[in-house]
Amino acid sequence: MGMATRALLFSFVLLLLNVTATSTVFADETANTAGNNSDTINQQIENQPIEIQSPASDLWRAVRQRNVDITGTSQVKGPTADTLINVSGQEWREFRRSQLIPYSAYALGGVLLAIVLFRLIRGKIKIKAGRSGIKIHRFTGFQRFVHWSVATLFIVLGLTGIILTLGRFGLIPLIGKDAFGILATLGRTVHNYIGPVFAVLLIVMLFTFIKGNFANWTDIKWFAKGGGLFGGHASAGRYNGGEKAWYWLAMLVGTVVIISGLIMGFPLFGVSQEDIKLSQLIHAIASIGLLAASFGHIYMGTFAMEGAYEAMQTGYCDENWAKEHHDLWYQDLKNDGVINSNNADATSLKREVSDSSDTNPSGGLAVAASSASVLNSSSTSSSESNAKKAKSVSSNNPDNLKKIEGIGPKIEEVLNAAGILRYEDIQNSSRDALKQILNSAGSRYKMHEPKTWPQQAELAAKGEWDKLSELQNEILNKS
Amino acid sequence: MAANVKFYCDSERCIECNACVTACKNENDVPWGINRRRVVTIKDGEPGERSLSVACMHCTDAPCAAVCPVDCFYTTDNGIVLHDKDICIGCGYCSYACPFGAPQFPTSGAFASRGKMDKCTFCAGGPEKAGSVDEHKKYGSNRLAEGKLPLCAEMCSTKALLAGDANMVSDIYRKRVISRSMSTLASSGNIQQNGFNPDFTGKATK
Repeated sequence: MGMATRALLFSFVLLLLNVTATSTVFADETANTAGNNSDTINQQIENQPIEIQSPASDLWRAVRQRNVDITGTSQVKGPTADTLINVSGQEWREFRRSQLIPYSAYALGGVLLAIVLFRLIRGKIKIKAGRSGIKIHRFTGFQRFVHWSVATLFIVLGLTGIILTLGRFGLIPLIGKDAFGILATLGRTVHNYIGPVFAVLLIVMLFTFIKGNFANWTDIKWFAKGGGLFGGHASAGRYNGGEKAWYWLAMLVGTVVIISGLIMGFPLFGVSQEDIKLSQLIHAIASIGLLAASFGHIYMGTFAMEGAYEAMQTGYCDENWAKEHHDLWYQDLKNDGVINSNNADATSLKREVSDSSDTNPSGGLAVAASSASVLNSSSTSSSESNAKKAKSVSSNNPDNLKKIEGIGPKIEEVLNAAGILRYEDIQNSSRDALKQILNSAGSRYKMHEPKTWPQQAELAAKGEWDKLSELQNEILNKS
Repeated sequence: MAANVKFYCDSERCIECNACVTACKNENDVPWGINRRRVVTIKDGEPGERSLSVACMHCTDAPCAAVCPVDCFYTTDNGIVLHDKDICIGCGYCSYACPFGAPQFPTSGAFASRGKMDKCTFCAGGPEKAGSVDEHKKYGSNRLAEGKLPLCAEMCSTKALLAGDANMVSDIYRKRVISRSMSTLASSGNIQQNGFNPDFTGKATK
């Protein structure tokens, strides 16, 4: 090999490597100055480029282009130690940053906005007929215990989840990284430890509320009428279409959230990092959906509707609320003789105790329909003493007729309007006469049974409150 | 003028001695069960076997920093990606996003839960005062503050692992490529160049 050839070859190397533009120029000059056969050699370059291998570069290039799953071996042991390049990391990151986080914020914000708009347009949904004062048993103590346990954990998990997902963009600008780091550490710990408890409680809830939550034609009609949210009346049984939808959504999507959460929390049984990445996305999407839906449920159950919250708070709902929002359920109760019947013995009159359902042995999985009872809500000890006072001060003042079990504020008004103001008036009235007054007051009052009222009124008129109480307990126990 | 520092591993030189892994562990007092650096061997025992030493590559647009829910990552003037263990919550997202598997987690907590993330710092410590006890406890040595480069690269016996100003690293590597190619040509192909074949499919042998 002569010197000229070597120089030419050297220039080819530089050309092929294309190190810099200047070196290319340099190579051309070298080729020209090298002498006679430069044209032929240039042709050679075009026709048959010489393969120069750079294996180290090729390796990195192949790895970087991610066409292949680059897995080797390593002395270091770890979940991903053998994998040279984590191929799906980029997709996960892009989805999280460009879609998951912004759309989560839009979804939650959008639902909140929709609720505010709905409130502005529709206002508070009142009980049209006003409160009857008569309470109907709707939820047992156990049901309420399960509901509020799940609800509390749901809110804690939801809040900590939102903090971890959106906090970087929503909270760090407000409270700074250091404070947020403490909050997020706490949130992550709480979220991880409460999650499994929530899983257990959700299973309990599945069984506690399953009765009455199966879909039927009524629900389809209910949805067709928009649930009566925008006017009109949509019939509903014990649970309306919206409540059923929320129940099944909570159960099914909740299961997805729990399973994906457990995979992340307990990466055992050969769960790979790919599985965790997928679980994380499923967990986040499902949870955001559940949270958005929960806003609707929480709003309807609290601020939206008069008389709704007390049902889950005390276990009892107002009779008129039941008639207006769960008419078919109310009808069922009537047909079953749980509320009102012509036989007074079947009417369970009950002195209201703050939490009677907690002592109800039928708690547990039983649904309240069979144990629903009519209560007089206002016969409290304070009204008792007030009534006594009122009577002793002036005999012209009307008695507190609400002292008699079965009479609430509304019925008291009706009776007062009919000229019945004192216990004596009731005592001297026959059952039929009282019934007639009630019947003529409208369909709402037809269901009430005044059979025991004269007897009760007699004791009340004499001021024998202990005996009255005894009698009332007796009536109660008969049921 | 701050440099933009990078690692580069020359697979033609790496002999899979794992000294970089050990040196890193020793220099930084890395917690038990964690290795900030690892050597991955591709096509182990087959023709064309190559090894690469991998740790945090200190990305310019770091995916770990992008997904961190508490925003605990920061990039120094030298282009080193560091994180604040006081803010880190150990969620593991950075390890899901990282292309190189750099973030590591101690599993010493209750129910083997993840502790705070640990990763290569380019021997540049953390946000604490350079050379402080706190800094060493959390992040290991701060060799950069002492004017030294990462120990893994400093002690590499074949100088396969390069660390330093990216321009200088690429200059060194460019010279190596040219020199190797020249050798091939000068010897008319007599020097064996058992090249890496990028067309190989799927997983290599274990």
